[in-house]
Amino acid sequence: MRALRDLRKVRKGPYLFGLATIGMAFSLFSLFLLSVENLQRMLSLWQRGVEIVCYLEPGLDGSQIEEVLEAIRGTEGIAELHYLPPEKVKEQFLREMEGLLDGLEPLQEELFPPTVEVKLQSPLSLEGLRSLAQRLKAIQGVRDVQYGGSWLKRALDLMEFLKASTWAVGAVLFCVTLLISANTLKLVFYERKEEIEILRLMGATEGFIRTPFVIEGAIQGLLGALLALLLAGVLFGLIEGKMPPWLVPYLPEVRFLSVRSTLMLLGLGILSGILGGLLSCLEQGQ
Amino acid sequence: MVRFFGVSKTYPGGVRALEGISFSINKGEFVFVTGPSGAGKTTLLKLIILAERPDRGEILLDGVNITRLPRSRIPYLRRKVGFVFQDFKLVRDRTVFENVALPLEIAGFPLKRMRRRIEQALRLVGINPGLFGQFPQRLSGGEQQRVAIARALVSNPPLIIADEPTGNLDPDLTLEVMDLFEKINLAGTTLIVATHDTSIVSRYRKRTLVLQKGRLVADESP
Repeated sequence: MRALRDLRKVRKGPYLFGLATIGMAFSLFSLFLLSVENLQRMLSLWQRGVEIVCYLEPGLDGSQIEEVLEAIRGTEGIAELHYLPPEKVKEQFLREMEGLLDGLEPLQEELFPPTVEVKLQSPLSLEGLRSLAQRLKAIQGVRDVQYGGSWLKRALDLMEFLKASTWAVGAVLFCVTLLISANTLKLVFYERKEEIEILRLMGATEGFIRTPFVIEGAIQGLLGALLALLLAGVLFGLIEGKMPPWLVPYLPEVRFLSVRSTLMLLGLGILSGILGGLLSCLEQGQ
Repeated sequence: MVRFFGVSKTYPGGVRALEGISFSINKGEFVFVTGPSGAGKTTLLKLIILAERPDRGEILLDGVNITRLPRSRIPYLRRKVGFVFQDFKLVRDRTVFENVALPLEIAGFPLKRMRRRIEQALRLVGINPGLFGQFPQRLSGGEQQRVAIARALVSNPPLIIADEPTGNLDPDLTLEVMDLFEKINLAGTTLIVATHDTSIVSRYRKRTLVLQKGRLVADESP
């Protein structure tokens, strides 16, 4: 109560400036977090849609192909498969290349190996995919297996790098907001220097004097984080509305920050305010 | 109530404020500490609430040797002493009522009983209830000092010390404030008033400690 009452007495200028700066710092962090969350979601969608393609040896007869298909079907983790004979593979190839390469129709069907498209029961890690591909390749009649391993590895590496960057950027922004909070509260402390002296002379403990500053810091941090969320929300709305149509199929589920991240951001705001308040008290005490 | 044994205090830079001061003040006494500016009156009062620490000697407050009292215990010592300053030291952005409430808030006094206690203290010093919600800067000097006195006595401390409490007041208000101190003392509170105003000292005829250049040169009783 005392902290809230004191908050009303704070000079608005420096307090609002501090609040705005905390808000800006946290909005940068929240935008970064937003990008990483969406990239992660996109990657997980792609991972879920990963398809393994098995190329069979050419020249297998009907019963041999049936045996290979049975062996693939019996492999753990396979949900469904789809066999494409050479003529279908050629047809699909020509369809995909339409407009890019002309004059491919005369190509011999024998050039296209019989193919099996395999769908997974559940998304697998890169290691899981690699191991499944090895097991499929070991089946007699399977010449090669492709699952986009190198591409997926690169995407996952990028994601790991972005995750690490989030924390590094987050740590820097957290320190910045901490210093801003501490400096804003130091100004407040300085403004109330006389009052604090009077309180000390009347027997107030340091805890009694400092508690309102720490609570004020927490409130300032929370308000700063809320402001950041608001700014990030507005920016997100603007960007989402202007997303080019060609990007939509790749980013089917662009969303704002998750509840977990929102709560984390608010928590970090409060924590930075509390630490800022303590830091300013510590400096004043010295 | 207060005992000094050979107390000396020198400020950084070699300024000697007090030298070998010894005296004893009993419970319920009214004592003036007088002397010219720079005699060491304020330092003596500051030592009682440990706003300064002595370099030598011992100080006993209510039977407790406070000379080496740990820093963490000082707030609790100060709650036993009401302090009145020449410049009133009222918090500008708190109302009269809130200013008087401060010592009770600090001591963790129950909110329910606070209001009655504050009103009693303000009435005792003659503050009109219409002024309870006013901010100090709206009051006259005499009213501000009476609010400061109400704040000093609201928690019912056994000792009140006042440093030049009439220094900023005109002669009529000076007498009003001194009469108030006398009234408080009659109710049993020990009072130590530092003043350089010899007319007050001679008018009120109380025990007087005379300081000169940091030394106690006289301890006169009426």
